[in-house]
Amino acid sequence: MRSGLLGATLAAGLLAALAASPATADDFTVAAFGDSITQGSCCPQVSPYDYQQQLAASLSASGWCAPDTCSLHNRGLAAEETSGGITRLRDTVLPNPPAGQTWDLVLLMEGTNDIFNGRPISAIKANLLAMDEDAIEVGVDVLHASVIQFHPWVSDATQRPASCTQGGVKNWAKTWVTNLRTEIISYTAARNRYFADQASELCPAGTDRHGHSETTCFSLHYNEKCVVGHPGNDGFDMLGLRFFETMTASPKPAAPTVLTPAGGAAFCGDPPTFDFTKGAGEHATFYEIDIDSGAWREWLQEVDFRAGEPDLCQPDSSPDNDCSLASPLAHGDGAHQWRVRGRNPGGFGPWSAVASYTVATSPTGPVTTLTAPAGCQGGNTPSFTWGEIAGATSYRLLVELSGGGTVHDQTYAAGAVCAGSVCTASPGLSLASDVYTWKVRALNPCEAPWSASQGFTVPPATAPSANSPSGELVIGDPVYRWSSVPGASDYELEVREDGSPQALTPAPPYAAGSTCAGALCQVQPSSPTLSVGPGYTWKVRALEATCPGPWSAERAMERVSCDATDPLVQESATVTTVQAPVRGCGELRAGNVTGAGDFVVGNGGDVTHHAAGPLVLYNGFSVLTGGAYTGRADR
Amino acid sequence: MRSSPKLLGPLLGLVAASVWAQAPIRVAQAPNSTAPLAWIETVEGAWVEGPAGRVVTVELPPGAGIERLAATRRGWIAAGVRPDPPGQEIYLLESKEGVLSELPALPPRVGAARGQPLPVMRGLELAGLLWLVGGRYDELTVWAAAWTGTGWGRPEEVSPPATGQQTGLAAAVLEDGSWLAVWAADDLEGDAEILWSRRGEAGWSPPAQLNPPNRVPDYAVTVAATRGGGALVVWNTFDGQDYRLRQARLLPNGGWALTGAFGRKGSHRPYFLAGAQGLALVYREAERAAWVVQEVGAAGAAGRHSVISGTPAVPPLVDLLDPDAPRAIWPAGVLGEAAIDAVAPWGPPQ
Repeated sequence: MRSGLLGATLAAGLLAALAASPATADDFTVAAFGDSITQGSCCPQVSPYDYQQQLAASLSASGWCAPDTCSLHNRGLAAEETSGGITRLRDTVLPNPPAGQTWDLVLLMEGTNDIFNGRPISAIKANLLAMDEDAIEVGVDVLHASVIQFHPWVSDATQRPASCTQGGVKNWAKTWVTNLRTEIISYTAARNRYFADQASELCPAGTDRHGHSETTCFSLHYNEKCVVGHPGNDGFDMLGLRFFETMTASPKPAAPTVLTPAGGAAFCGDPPTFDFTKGAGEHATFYEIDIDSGAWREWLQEVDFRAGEPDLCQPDSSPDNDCSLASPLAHGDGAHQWRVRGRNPGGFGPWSAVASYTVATSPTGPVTTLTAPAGCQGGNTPSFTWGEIAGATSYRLLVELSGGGTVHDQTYAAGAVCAGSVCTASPGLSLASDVYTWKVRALNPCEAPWSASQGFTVPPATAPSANSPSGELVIGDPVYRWSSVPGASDYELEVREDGSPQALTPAPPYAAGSTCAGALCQVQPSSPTLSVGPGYTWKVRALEATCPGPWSAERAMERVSCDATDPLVQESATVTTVQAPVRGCGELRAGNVTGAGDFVVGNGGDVTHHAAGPLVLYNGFSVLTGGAYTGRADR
Repeated sequence: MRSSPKLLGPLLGLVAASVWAQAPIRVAQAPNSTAPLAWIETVEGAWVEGPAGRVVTVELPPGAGIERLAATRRGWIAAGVRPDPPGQEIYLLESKEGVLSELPALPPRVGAARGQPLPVMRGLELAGLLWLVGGRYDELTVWAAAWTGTGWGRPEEVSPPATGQQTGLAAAVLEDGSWLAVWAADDLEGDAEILWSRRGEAGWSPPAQLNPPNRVPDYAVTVAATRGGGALVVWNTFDGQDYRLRQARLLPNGGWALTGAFGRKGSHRPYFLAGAQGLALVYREAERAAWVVQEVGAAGAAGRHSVISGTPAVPPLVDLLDPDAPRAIWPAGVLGEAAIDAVAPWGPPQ
């Protein structure tokens, strides 16, 4: 009954006002799709009327629609079967919403003519599902409805107006309406679609929810001028109310929670996905995502729960409430923000919070200024400094060994490393003595080309230990001996006469490879030749490439003259017992050592253990262990 | 009476302006009449419409309806159902020389209810009747009985309950006197397919599927006998996007030749009419909101065609008497107080 509701005239005016209202972001535009029962009143005796008038009035009066935000549009076509409805809906109705609007919802109530003409229930169901898929495909929700009952035969002909000659019973149509209803209930439940049970509304077998018997219902709510199986105005109102109740009884989806992108995250090109968590409670058929890059854009993506197809969201039954949607929109450079809301036949739910992110579509230029480190690095924990690039949101730093191998590969947020026009990253590396290269590239976050590579050297961190000579020595061109420094490429020796500011060297650096064996390095430089008389000091330091490490402690030495009383190891001398100490003044050339055992040459506290084999020893010496020696000492 | 002016071009806008546009009607055109003849039910009542307008207004029993009409030499035969609590029963009306009478009732029924009566015509003579029997919609059986001229022969079961619903009967009497029946029936996968059965001297052949196996609906089948002993069967089939038509030709040797789908998007609801030039296939085409009339040769070849576009989905009375252009007619009382008609000239074969 329409008592207490807006009358037909007022409702029609309201509908027209709704339809003419300008589109806004929250417009809810509904297509009423179906056959003659959707198209409206069927008799010339009555004014044009359809169920949308009651629906529009109810939606507005209830506050479900904000003023001027809902519009309902009649897209019914009399006598249409679902086989033709497929094409009309997809090709004519869906692509042509009212100017400036987009369809949000289709009220789909069709199949009466199919049943009337004896079409298979399975085909009607398949056709309704095809229409559902076509609408969903273009982002339009579907509220399915069972079709109303055919008017039953009336046993008492006097109940019918004299002008009527038929009662509308067609074969098993009455039963088939019920069968179709069962199918629609089944597939709408399976697909999370909403369902308006018009077959139960008008007029089910038995007593309807208004307390009317079937016969009374038909007499009240079917066409009052002629019994032809179509509703009268009261019947249309009941259909409209049922649609209204279904829409408004469907809770709107709760606000989702945005996950990513968020927090100003930067992307090169479109963000790969937009991830959010479904709001608790009522499910959404679609989610609408708005992207604000100056003006909100929006698109809808179906929440697709059908098996075998990619899901936007996990099913409602899943403990995982996450949804992930690939972005179909092309972003421009700059800052963006987005939000998401769900939609179902109950309408739009509230928006999520707004999340921000930035997008760049092309990279910056390369970094052109690498300041430090370069050349010899003063220490092994370098900081890396380069010139800032406008627009860069981060920098990727790559440090490599010159001989190959990555030492460090890290991306730094520009805000964390740049100040002014200079960027400095201090990764806290503890580098071994070696030669390195480094380079940097700017990201916005698109990757700019790498800068040119810049080399730097980490010198040895430790000093060698100068061993000998030390103290008195009897020859002018002694052998200098020191402990090796791991990783050093060269050594630099410096000899200085006491009191002289000038070093008697520099000698050219001595390559470690030809100077050192194991832990011992030694050289016998051709200069300087030490003179008897003055005192000398010498020291040594390791080099990495050309970068020196710290000097060793200095050794003092003094050349003295040998005298004849000094013992001399004779050639082919055999030391069978420890002779302590045997001291020589001159040159011991120990070679072709025969017999077992090594021998040890000591010079003060500097004792060196030598394996048997060709050997050249200089300087004052002591033979400390027994053994067979072949050699000679020359003065 | 029908209005005289021809309405060419889009008609939908004109119809949409009429409050009569939503009138529920049934136009059951006699398929075997070369002159337009139809049974029409509207809010105004039920009547038979002929070339010159209403032939006769018929007052039906309460709750009764007519589903099929066939032309006879001296009138017409209408078949329908009427309440027969707790079920429904078939009845046939015959108009002979302007005298209306009811044909004898079918032999006592063997099922809970009978419906979808289909007069089977041998030319302009009633050869028999096909119908459905059953209770549940998915347990319907197909039955047939011959008309002796004065009464009904013994009912014969053409098809026992199938895997699902059986519905949409169509039938033709071939040149050799055999009957060919076709209808839609659900298969094991629950989608409708086209079944056929032929009755010769040995009785009805076991129902067999006519269309290739598929997972889409095939239904709304129509059949017509052709010269040379064959028959043409046309139905609408879903191509995954839209409905189109499909044709099968019964060869003289008893085999079938199937064509691919034809018709533009949304082609559906086909039915054969007897035209002055031979067979014509009429169907609704949703893409252009058109009723299409297509001449068909005995071998199924497409002849001239006419597209009466921008027209209502309400089935028209199709008039093929004009050799130059088919006419679609919505008689007075169908879409308004005045008749509406639209014509579209024959075009070349497509």
